[in-house]
Amino acid sequence: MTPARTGERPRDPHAPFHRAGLAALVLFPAADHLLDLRLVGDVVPVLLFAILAVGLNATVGLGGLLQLGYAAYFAAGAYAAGILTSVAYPFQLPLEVATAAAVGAGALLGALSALPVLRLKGDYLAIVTLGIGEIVPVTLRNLEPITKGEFGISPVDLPGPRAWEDWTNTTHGVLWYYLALALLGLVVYCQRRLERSRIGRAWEAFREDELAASACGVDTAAVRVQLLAYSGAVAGLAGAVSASYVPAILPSQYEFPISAMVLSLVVLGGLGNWRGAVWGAILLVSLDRILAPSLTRWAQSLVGSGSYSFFLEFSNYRFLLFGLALVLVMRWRPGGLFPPRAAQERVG
Amino acid sequence: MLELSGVEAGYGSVRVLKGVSLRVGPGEAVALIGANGAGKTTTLRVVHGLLEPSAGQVRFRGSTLAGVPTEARVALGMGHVPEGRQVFSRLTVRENLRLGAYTRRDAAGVREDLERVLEVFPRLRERLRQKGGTLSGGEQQMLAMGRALMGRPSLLLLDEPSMGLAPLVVEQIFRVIAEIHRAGTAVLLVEQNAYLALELCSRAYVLTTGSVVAEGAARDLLVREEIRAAYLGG
Ligand SMILES: Nc1ncnc2c1ncn2[C@@H]1O[C@H](COP(=O)(O)OP(=O)(O)OP(=O)(O)O)[C@@H](O)[C@H]1O
Ligand SMILES: [Mg+2]
Repeated sequence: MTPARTGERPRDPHAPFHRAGLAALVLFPAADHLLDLRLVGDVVPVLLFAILAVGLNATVGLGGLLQLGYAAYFAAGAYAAGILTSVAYPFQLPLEVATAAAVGAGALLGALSALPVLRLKGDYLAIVTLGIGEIVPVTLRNLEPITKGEFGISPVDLPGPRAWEDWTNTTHGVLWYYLALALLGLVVYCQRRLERSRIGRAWEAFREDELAASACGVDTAAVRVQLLAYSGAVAGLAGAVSASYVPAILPSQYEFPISAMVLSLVVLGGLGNWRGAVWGAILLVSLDRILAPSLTRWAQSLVGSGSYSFFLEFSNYRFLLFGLALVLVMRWRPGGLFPPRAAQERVG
Repeated sequence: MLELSGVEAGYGSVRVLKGVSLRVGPGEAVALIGANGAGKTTTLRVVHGLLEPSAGQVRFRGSTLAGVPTEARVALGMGHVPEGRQVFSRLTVRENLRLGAYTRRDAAGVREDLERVLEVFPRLRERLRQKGGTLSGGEQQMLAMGRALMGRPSLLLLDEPSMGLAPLVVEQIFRVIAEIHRAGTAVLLVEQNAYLALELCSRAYVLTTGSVVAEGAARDLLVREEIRAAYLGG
């Protein structure tokens, strides 16, 4: 069937821009070094958010299931990695092994959370996933013997052989950067394969019309399990890497704002296409994590640290700005900032 | 080929089918006619496993279908063109057609059937890369039928294929149904336009509020006074 596949969808007129963006990503550490920006380390979480956005885009964009508790799967991966590698626990496995387990943990939690919603869609499913997103951090807080509660888990093993630890330390961001970029590439590759596969087509059919999809022989209960398990696995992967990157894992890092943020990235970037998810995430998280703090420093240095300086903390406006951006994008660019080809076609 | 005996079904506490029995022989074309809300669509849903009957039995090719999920019924050779067409509007025509072959693993056979479907519906060939939702109503009906044919069904369930279409398009669609039937596929046709249905089918069942009130050869039903009065507009 491969010959039929090319030209199944029209060519993307934005392909050159995507290629330029990819080149920029690959070359960024060099530019960073030459210009002495010291931003490489700050971009690592941005790339991890991009991985999360690609994963969530499968459930929400391809499958049409509104998933409001995505941080729960991120947490599952992070805690699996933390518990399996940290010296605070008896296992102390290498991170590579623990990451595989984290992917499994995310997938398992995803599959389990599909069970109560095998027949649900729309608002009901959204509420169930919201509930899962709330239950997980509460459990992490209170299951102290296992999760160490508010105390958190640290240190988590670093990637690579022990001899590299100096390198992979957060102060040496380059290796981290390329690790995160490579994983993002891997996830994007899997997603593209999936999108063009029989499974991906079944997901889209399910999104378009559940009844017609089952009339074609698509097992719609299985689709729900696949969607939530797949996006859970991706979140588990991001969770493991981020657990190793941050100084400590704490329950507060896996609460609703993270779910809301990733969901807004997906919607802002463009539902149903991984490119939108990637560029949307990179653009918006960079604004939030890199530009906003710099602006804050700059603004505060102008006015001094008076009692108004709190209002100049731009990160505090994060959700205000995201909300505003969502409203504007929905009004003017309903296909997202980087719409899939389908949406462009309809407008044109 | 297909046999329903005493099938009862409904939605929640609403009972819709109150003991429906009908039969479609191998390669036979059978019409199911009746007023709005009689339960025709519901009957097809039960046959295709989209709705579990609360009583009675559905048998297909000699074995009972109780507990057999829809996807297995598709694999067994049931194709369904649902009411209101329901094409996947944001997928291309080609993707829609390939979804019709979702349960099949024989890539070569699927390619062959795609070619056959495109020969039957040349309009679809010109629009292979177009989104399903951008097709006209008649083209969407062709796409829904083509999609069902991609499963290489031995029994085709058709739910009001003429709905909302111009007479010329309806004629075209019915010619295709007749062709499919002549090629050996059994057809269970639900149709408001009873004249059209009875012309195409050898036998028919008349459904009224969930029960079969008349059955027989289409020729005989066409001339029976009470049926003419009720369903054929005198
Ligand atoms: N999903 C549903 N939930 C509740 N009731 C339903 C549902 N679908 C159909 N019904 C009811 O079942 C009865 C039969 O519906 P059905 O769609 O089978 O009729 P029909 O014979 O196909 O009618 P039409 O010719 O208008 O398509 C109707 O009274 C309808 O209101
Ligand atoms: Mg109907």
